[in-house]
Formats: sequence, C-alpha cells, structure tokens
Amino acid sequence: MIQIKSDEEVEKMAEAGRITALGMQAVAEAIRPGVSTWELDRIARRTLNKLKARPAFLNYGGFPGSICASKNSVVVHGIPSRRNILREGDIISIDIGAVYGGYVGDMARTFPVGEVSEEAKRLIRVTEEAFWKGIEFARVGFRLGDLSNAIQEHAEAAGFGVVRDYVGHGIGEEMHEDPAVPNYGTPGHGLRFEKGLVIAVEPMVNLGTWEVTTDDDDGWTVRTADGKISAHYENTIAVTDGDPRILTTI
Amino acid sequence: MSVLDERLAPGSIAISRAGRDRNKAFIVLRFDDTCAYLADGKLRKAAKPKKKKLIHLTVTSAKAPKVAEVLARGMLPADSLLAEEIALYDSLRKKGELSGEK
Repeated sequence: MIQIKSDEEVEKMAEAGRITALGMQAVAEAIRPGVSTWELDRIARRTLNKLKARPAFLNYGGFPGSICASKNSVVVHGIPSRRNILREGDIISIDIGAVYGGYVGDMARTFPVGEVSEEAKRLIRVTEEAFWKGIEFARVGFRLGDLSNAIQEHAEAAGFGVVRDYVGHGIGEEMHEDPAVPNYGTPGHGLRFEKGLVIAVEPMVNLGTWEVTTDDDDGWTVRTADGKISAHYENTIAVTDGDPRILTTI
Repeated sequence: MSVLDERLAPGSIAISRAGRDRNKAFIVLRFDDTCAYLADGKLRKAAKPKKKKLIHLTVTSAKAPKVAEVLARGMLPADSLLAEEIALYDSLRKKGELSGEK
C-alpha cells in the first residue's frame, strides 16, 4: 500500500535524509586507494551513531553491513570486507541508509578511486544525469512510467544497460515501501504522482549488458552478468506542489 | 538500498485464471495499473495482444529473458520466439520442474 506523507512527515524525513547525507559525506572523504570497504563501513556507522541515528541496512534482511560497498562489476549490495581494498582506477558505489526520528533516508553514489578511465567517468556521469532526467517527471500530473522511461532513455542513449531486476522504492517509516520504482518503463503508464509521495529513485547503470547475477555464496552481492563495471546514483525525494524535493541533502 | 523487483514485468510469464484461455500461459508484453497485454505467439500474436485484467492473472516467477530483452529495446518480439518460450515453459511445467507460482 502506498503511504502518502503529510508535510510534517516529509520534514521528519528531510532530517533523516540530511543525516544520511552527512554519513555519505564522511564515507566519501575517506575513499582513496588502500582503504578497505570495511573501514568505510566503520566510518559510516560511527558517523550515523554520533548523529543519534541508526544504520538502516545493518541486519536488514540479515545484511551484515552498515553500508553497501559495491566495487567495479558489483552493481549493488556489496558486503563491506577487510579483504576488499580499494585500488587506483576502481570505482566504488556506496549505498547508505539512516533511521532517525522513526523515518528512513536512503542514498547512493558511485565514486572514482584515484584516476579512473574515461569510460568509467562517463558511466558515473550518465548515471547521475539519468537520475536528474528522471525526477524532472516526479511532479503532480505525471506518472511513474514517465520518470522510469526518462532514466532508461538517457542511459540507453549513451549505450549503457539499465538494470531491470532491482528497482527503487517508496520509503518512509520502512526502508522498502510501495511503489516499486523501476528504471525502465513506458511513458504515460503507472502510478500518478501526488503530493506527499516519497520515493527512492536509484538508477543502476551497467557499462555493458543490463543483466545481473547474484552471488550464491552470500546471497547479496549483485554483479553484472558480463563482468563490466556498474554505477549507481540514488536520492530520497518527495513529490511536492512544485519541483521535487531532494531529502538526502546537507 | 535497491529492492528486487518482484512485480509484473515485460517478459514475465503469467497464467490466465479466467475466460476461455483459463490455465494457459502467456508472456506479458506490457501492463498498466489494471491490465496486462499478453501474447503467446499462437492464439495471441505480438501485434494483437490479449488485454487481460490483472486480477484474472497469476504472475509466475518465470521469465522469458529473450523476450524481455527485445521489449526493452522497444521492439515487438517475433511470434516464433514467444511460442518457443511458452513451449519451454509448458514443458517444464509438465515435468514439475518449476519452483511454483507467486
């Protein structure tokens, strides 16, 4: 069931979103060659705890980390590990969620580690652009399919693959609420946007094929089927009377 | 944190639960809030899919990935491909090798 949020609830979610963004900022500042994804996880956890928030991902469905740290060909849900050391030329997607005041904030970014290939830079840039193209339609009067299609069109026009199997989602007191927010779709179809709808919009864009596989070993790590790199960009946004409001911002 | 998409999707295999085609498997070509557009390449061709209410369908966990890929490119799948995928699904269903429907 889709839960429309009151103005007061959206304000509370903005506070949770601000804290999430502060957590992301702390992690981003620590990204460099030689650091492990486990260290990034610790930084996120410490930062959120200091801000009186709780990492939303820790133990969610059994997930063992406070962040998802997804390197190179890992699309999403990478488990932080001491053995996973960042190297010059890697790209690393950080997905972070915080629970504060009973509401959840959720965001993701892909960062270059040191100097990366032009191809990787383009993938990261196009993924972010796809997000902004998509949320242009997160307005009263448009439908979910308009947003989804704008993301898909932008990423595919650049020659990249849009992940189908994993999608964005409604968010509020729970991290995953209705509706599902796919990154592909048909304009004019799907849910009509209305004021108070809060969703996490999160294009996951692959350099090659859109197809992905999930590691049998841990049941979490989602990789590109062709082993090529992938990027991720996510914010929690609220539909308003006017422009969509980004909640995961400092 | 993204979530596994378990919704109806283009390329999903769905079973009709009402009408003359009851219990027949189809591939979802597209859908909207209330209806899905279905084809199997034989009874219903891709160019003229069957519009069916979602409440009259059971969406299975099976997918026709080749069809999904064609649809994702904005093209209509060939009827021969649809028929091939449905035949494969039906043969697995007969052998009881499918994990079940959701």
